[in-house]
Parts: sequence; C-alpha cells; structure tokens
Amino acid sequence: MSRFCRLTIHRASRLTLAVGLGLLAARCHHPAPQAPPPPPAAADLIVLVPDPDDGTLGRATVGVASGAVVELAEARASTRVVAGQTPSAPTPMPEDEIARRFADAQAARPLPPQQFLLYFQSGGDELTPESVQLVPQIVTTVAGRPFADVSIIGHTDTTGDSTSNAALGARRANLIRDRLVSAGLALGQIEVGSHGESNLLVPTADNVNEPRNRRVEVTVR
Amino acid sequence: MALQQGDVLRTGADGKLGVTLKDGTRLSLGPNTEVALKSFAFSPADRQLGFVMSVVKGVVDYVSGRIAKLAPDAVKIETPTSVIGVRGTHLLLGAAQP
Repeated sequence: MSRFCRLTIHRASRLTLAVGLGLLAARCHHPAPQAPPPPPAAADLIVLVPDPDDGTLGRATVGVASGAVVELAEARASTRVVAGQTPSAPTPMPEDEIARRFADAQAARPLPPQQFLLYFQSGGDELTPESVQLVPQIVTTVAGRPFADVSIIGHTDTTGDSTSNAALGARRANLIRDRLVSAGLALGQIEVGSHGESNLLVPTADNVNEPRNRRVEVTVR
Repeated sequence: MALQQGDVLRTGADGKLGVTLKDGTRLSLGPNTEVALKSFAFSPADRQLGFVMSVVKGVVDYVSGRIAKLAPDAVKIETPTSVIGVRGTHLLLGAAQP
C-alpha cells in the first residue's frame, strides 16, 4: 500500500472495516510510479534476402506449431515469430536494420565454393584441351583459400544403368584426383566421389547421350 | 576441421564463424550464437539428401547449397518458435532477438 493511501478508521465494526479496505484497494490502485514500457517480447526473425553471389531471390515458408504459415517472397521480406503467436505478416526490413542486426554474421560468410567442370574426350580417359588448362587454375584457387577443401565428383549421362554409371563416375573422378595431386595438391584436402547419373547438369530422360552431363565437378571450398 | 551431423557450433561474445558444408551450404554465425546441425546427408547417388539445422540463439547468415536444389523439401531450418522451409537461397535468421 502506498503512503498516499493511509486510512484511519474510528470505531468501525469488523465488517465495515473489511468493506472499507476493499474500496481503498480499488481507489488506490493507481497512480503507480511510472514504469518504463516493457521491452518487446523476444522474437525469432527470418529475413529473405537476395543471393549474395548472383542476386537472385528465393522463397521461404515460416510455419509454427499452430499450423499458421507465412511465405516470404520479396527482397528483404521479414517475419517476427513470438512463441505461441502467429508469425507476423511479411514486411520489408530496412537495410539499416539488417546491417545493425546481421552485419557480423554477414561479414563471416565464407567465399562461395568455386566449381570447375572437366570433360573427357569421347570414349576415353583423355581430358579435353580446355579441361587440361583448368588443372593449374584449380591448384591456384586452392592455394588462395584458408582451410581449402576440395571435392572431386564424377558424373555421367543417363546412358546405361545407374550402377555402372556410378562406377564410371568414380573412375573418372579418380583420374582427375591423380592429375591434381601430380600438379601439387595435397591428398588430405581431397574427397573423391561419384554421383553417377543422379545429379545431372542438363536434365534429360533416361538413356540419353548428353556430353554436358559426362563431367567431373571439382569444387573448392 | 570436419563437422559431423549432430555437432553444435557456438560463438562467444566477440566471436564469428563461417563454415561451408559439403554441398556448398554456407553458414556464418554472429556473436553469442548457437546452431545445432541436426542432420546432414549429401549422397545424391543413393538419394540420401537432407539438411536440418536449428538456430538455438543468436544470428545466422544462411546460403543454401546443392541439397536445397536437388531436394528442397529435405531442407529444414528450425528456430525456437518456427520451422522454415527453404526454396533458395539466402536467409538471415535470428533466434530470441529483442
């Protein structure tokens, strides 16, 4: 009870006293000392932004336990999600707020992985002349990155069955690894694998002879 | 340094961290941030594709990789209050932000 609400009661019965105190409590409920407004409830934030490398814009859906879903489809579209509530309608987050909130995370973003596509001359294990020239470029790129890590993945087109294509992709990836190691790459940085016919560069139906799909992808991260 | 599914990435008050996953997914964390890599599978040859991560606290810059291209429905990002489906490519995420 605040000091402004002191009350003196003379000769009051118990009953009146009780009623009197009830009224008193109601009257003296305010003014409370002016408290600062409560901070906004902590929220999760989701912001859709253009791709850092090519500027294209994707899409994202944000769902919560109640089943409510909000879709983000515009540049800088953002939603706030407070526990137990529906996500806020998408609104563009101003650039300066993005910078204030996310600059540190954005500054730590790694360089995009760099990818090299190497092709074999048809029917053999010889690289095309263009692909031969990529080998020293790959070595230079690896040298220019801290903690570089290289993956060499063989791919085929959809001619033939998927099992033999997986093996063919692996054989070609190993050939590229050998070339890169002789050009100076350390083995410990290299991972070799095959995606066979399951990761086509140019989508085709099954059993389609497509030279652009018969490649080895070297990715430097 | 190799990351495994189930690992948790954490930064301190003056920390930052950037990682690139095998499929080209890039994650970078601001200070006081925690991210759990709940599942990661990138083996297109046997159709094993998936990525689930949870932003437990702090702020994250996320750029999707090949998994999101090959199997968009297999990519999920969780925050304490929501689940995000990704159709490419670049999101900024904050958990329990003022």
